[in-house]
Amino acid sequence: MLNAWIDRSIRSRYAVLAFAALVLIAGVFAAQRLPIDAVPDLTNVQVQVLTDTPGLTAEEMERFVTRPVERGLTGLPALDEVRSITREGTSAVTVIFKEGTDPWFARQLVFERLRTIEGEIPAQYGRPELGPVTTGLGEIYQFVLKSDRHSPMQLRTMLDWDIGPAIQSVPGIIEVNSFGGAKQQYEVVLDPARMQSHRVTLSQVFQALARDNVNVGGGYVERGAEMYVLRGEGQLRTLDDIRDVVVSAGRDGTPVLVRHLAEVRVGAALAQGVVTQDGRGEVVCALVLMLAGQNSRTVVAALHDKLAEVQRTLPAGARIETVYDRKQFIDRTLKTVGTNLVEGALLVSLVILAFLRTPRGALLVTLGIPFSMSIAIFGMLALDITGNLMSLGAIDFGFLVDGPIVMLEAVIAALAVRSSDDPEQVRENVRRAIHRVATPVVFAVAIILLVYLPLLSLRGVEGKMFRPMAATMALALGGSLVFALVVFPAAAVTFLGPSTVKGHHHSDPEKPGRYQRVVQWVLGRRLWVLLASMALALSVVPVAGSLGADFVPRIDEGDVYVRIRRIPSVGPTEARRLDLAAETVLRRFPEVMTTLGTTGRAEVALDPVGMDNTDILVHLRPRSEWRTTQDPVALRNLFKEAVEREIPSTFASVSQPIEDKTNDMISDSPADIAININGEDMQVLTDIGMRVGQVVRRVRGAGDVRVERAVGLPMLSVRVDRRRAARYAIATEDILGAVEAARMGREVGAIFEGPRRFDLRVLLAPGPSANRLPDLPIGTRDGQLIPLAQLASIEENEGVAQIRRSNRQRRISVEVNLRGRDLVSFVEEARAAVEREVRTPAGYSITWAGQFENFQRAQERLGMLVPVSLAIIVAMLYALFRNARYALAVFSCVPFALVGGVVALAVRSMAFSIPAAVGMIALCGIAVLNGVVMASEVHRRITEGESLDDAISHGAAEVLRPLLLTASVAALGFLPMALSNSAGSEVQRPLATVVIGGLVSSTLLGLLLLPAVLRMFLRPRQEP
Amino acid sequence: MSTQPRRNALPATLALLAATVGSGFALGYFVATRRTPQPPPPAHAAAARPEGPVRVRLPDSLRANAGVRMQTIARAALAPTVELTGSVEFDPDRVADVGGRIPGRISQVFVRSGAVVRAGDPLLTVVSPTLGELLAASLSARAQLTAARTQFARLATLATQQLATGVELDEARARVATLNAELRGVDQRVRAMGGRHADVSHESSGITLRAPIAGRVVTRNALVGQVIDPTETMIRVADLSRVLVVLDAFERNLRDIAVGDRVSIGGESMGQRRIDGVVARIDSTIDRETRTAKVEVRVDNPDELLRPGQFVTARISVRGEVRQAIAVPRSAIVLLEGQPTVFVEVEPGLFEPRPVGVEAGDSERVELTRGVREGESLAIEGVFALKSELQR
Repeated sequence: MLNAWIDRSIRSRYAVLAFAALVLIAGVFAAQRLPIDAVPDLTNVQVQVLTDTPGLTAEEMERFVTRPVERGLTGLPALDEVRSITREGTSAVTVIFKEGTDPWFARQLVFERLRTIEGEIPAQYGRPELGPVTTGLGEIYQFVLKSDRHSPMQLRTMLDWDIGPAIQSVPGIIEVNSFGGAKQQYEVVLDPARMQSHRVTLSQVFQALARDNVNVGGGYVERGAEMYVLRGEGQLRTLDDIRDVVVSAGRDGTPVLVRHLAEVRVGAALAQGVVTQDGRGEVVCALVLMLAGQNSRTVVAALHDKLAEVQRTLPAGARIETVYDRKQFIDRTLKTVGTNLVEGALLVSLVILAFLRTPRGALLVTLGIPFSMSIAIFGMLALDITGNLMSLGAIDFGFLVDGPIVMLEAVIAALAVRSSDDPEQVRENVRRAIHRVATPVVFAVAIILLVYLPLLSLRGVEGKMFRPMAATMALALGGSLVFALVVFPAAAVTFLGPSTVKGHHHSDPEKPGRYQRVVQWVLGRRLWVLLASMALALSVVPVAGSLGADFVPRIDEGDVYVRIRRIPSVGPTEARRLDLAAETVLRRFPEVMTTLGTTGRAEVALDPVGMDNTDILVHLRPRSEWRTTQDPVALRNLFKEAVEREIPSTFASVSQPIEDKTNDMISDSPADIAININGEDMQVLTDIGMRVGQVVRRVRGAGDVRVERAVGLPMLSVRVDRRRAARYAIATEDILGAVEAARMGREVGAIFEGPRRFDLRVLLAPGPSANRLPDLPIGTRDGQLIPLAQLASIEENEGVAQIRRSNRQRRISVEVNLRGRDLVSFVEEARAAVEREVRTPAGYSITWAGQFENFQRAQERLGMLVPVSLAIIVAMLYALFRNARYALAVFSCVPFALVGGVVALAVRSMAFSIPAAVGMIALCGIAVLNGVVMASEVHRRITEGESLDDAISHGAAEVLRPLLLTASVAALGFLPMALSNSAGSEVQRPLATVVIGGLVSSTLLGLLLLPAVLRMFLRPRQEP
Repeated sequence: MSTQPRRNALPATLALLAATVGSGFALGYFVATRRTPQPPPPAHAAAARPEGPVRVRLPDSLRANAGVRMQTIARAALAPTVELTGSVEFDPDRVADVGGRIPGRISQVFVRSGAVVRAGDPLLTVVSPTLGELLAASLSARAQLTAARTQFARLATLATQQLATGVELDEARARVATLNAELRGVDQRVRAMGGRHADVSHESSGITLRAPIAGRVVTRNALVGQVIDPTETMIRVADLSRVLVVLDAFERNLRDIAVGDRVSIGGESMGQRRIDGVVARIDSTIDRETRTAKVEVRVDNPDELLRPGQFVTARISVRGEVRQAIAVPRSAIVLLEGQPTVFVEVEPGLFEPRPVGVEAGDSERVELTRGVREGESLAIEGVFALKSELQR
């Protein structure tokens, strides 16, 4: 059947060649359209619902916003999980959909529900909005705006209203999130004494300013034949407009204006976040978010153009300084991938040339690489697979040319032996040679391909990482199959002739070579050889056991993210001081180029954190300039140690921008183990959490144990005493209005400066410190000032800082990182201890999650995949040979391939990781290639009537060359990746190492062992 | 021949099959039971947590950045304070209003507002028709008196020569007395119009008003040419070197305040400066409307920092309640699980959180009633770092 295809393509060889040319050209175009990113996107399908209501406590926010939103979103189709984080002033509900749901459909679903939900949230508690459509890869660019001539407030205004909208017009940019500086607002700062003398209350001022700041439409009037639109303009525009607003008629008929009561000025809003740079001072920064599913390479390029344009329009002195640029990371990884691929391809071509010494043949074989890659890229485009480190980085070109190499070798052998000058005869010889090896080669490649397919069933993070790789590799192998079956025969027939092999000294098959003698020796002592090999294989088992394990590979992004957590009560000034100190510590490392510390939250609170959270983005110098260490992981640990050693109140965890963002979005606790306590009462949850923490700390191997600090936010609660207030005839509204106006100011409207919109807020002067809050003056209607303490009780207490919810239940977590103990046994012991010692009341439950969940899932999956792959191999072998003995004989090579993989890992002291496991699985497929080729040759010779021993020794000798060739090509194709140390090579290195090791061992052992095994298996039937 | 090899081959086949499948599953098992990564030991080896009181260790490397400052606990005099708001008023003994006592027109003003004057300095001159009439009457009375005196003297001479009768002489004496009384009456009226501190100028029929006390002109309502009314105040002179601060004391404050208490006054216009005073008087009634009693504080104001009408805050040191107590700065106390807590250094670098009882102290300090002993070393700054370490 296969040969029929080959014949067909040989017959219509010009059409086939034209097709191949077409594929190559289309491939070039397709490659340019392929979305490129550095790493695969690990984010799940999620929609965020964000609500911002400054000033509300976490518990109020939860009651009035989070719960109604969550309630409204239950029962959506394809819903996986609803979780939320509620903090003072902000609520973020994340709806996670099942994998594979269309994100826009998901948004549509949530949006429809939002309409209903809005009705259930009182208007003053904010309006829920959908978060931007972005993913863990979304934060592509970050810059600071600096100027010697502008104030932080001017810079922030410039950023919010000039630069931001300009950048947002770039296709693919969904959000420009400003952070830091001072947000401008118009302030009416009331003097209580003047209010008293004019007998004006706060609510009168609130009302007056809200009432007087409107425009109205009045329809139209006709004048002659024309129509004039009638409008009333009362919008406040300038500070003087505000000053002239009438607050009351006054006692003696003289109107009381705002200017009589207050200082009206342009001021800065109460900050929700602080940004510091390089340990030197505060700056204004912006984070640019990319729309999900965009090609980050093109978006970043367009962004760069736009920024250059914006820079030109900025006022003198102002300049944009990049602090994070995804382009650098993409370029770096692409360079790694590109270098590896090019070097691999070159090595492959050189090896072919050296072995076969036919430039034309080598060229034909090497053409298989672009051809297969073109097919792979078509497939990637069709399947929406992004080109990145994982999908493109782990392709071994050696595999792609295995088929053509074996075919070429056969052709050369045939041409060398049966030399003829008749072109028809030459073509026939070529055809026959190809026929002879086509079936085993195709099967062997198909086996490699099929072995990759089970990897597509990986789930979760490891699935997102390795599915693209498996798919791409399978596609490329499919392409190489097409090349081997269709294109190469046609090309070989067309371009290869006797001249190709001129000067090519093919060994005489009849003269026994050195290898043949070895085979004969082995055949004589087959049992010993077999036993020795098995002993060798078994001796590796302890080596395998000693390997460490590291399941999810960390891709080095070149930048570091130091996330600092503090206790919830930290004030902005202290946080700023500590951040600057931490940045100073980090900048002492010669590797650090710049640091940017962001405390609190940005304008769009995508990441609902408070002042207790600081992210320091550390931009590193190129690896070549590093002096402290060359290992990024070690450097990150040094960062953490240095910061925690010198900066008090600081709990640092070190991550990387994309990694951190992705972890945040998929809410995978970066800790090894997260013990979640679910329930209702925060205090009970915290108590259980503390007890769990105590218990777990005692379990051997517990390194860092951190109980989430959900409570402990100090609060000054002003509780109105209605009876006392009634004695002065003061409305509660007036008292609470004063509390609101004391610091944050009551928003009473907006002032527009062209397109810029600024809040108009009413404040009370002077803003009290905590000690003076009791003296906050409250005005009565008849002009007295009563101190707040007279009307309300002021209590200091601790409240809830943050409420995390998962599936409509509150939850706090205890995070555990291990030291010197393996996960499984630790979890078992800790679990037992917690169950024994911590009693949970009804309605409270403890669940265990964290990275160990992923580990376990991946372990289980891989534990299943390995046997499945092996079963596929056996089935394919049986389908090829239609004979269990052959199939099993060939299959017996597999363990010896794995031996090499394990040894290679051990030699390079690498941990056993998912890439290594993937490499192992690939190895199983590659290992049988040798066996298939050799066994087929032996089989052919036996059917041609040779004796078993002759068939084996001759057959083995016959295939020695192509086997060595394919093996060395495959190994060399991976060599650059195995040795690479550049950005993003962390993932490829173990995989390539395993494959190279396995190839070496399987080839060497295979060449010795397989003849022996074949001899043992085949003897009975073949000796009639 | 054909059965023998088969028998030989079967075990080998089975063995190999078992070996391969076994190794396959062994690999699967190997993969499935891999040990997990072992994270590097954290920088902070968590302090050994002994049973008993929880303690927190602050490594020396953190101490500098934590800004921890220590203080040895000792008793100190602690006077609790009450804070009240109020306004500055004139001292009624040191303010004088100057106004005309006759209707008239101002002809001259000698001072501007804000001017410093001594007692007796001229302030303004008022020209009055009434005064003119009186002066005319006075002149006429004086002339008549002179005439009558002359007449009387002549008659007296004549009487000695027996040229005039005793009746005539008596009449003349009576007339002198009458005119004398009349003149005194007119002069009395003129003087009354000007008051003690006035000069009556006969030529201009004007009257010059003078400063009754030394002080500063705080109000000047007088314009040249202005018609004045006897009821109006034209110029107010006040001595601001002493003022009254009138505070509104709410009922709950009254039990703490007594006459003679020392008061420290601050205001928005004064920045960080404070001025001392003494409680001079406390209202014996409570205003039904404002629910406050007035507390008057006498304050020496040599630099005139306090301006009448100004709003001030006053901190009254409650007298008689000065007590020896453990006083610590407010900054030493943090809330820890809802409890006011301080950190005591039990050995170098090792701190123990102690829940304490807190009583009101003065403005900067509070009194600790339990939880600590004298002589212990207490963190008064950088407490946040200790709290953080405790809750890490």
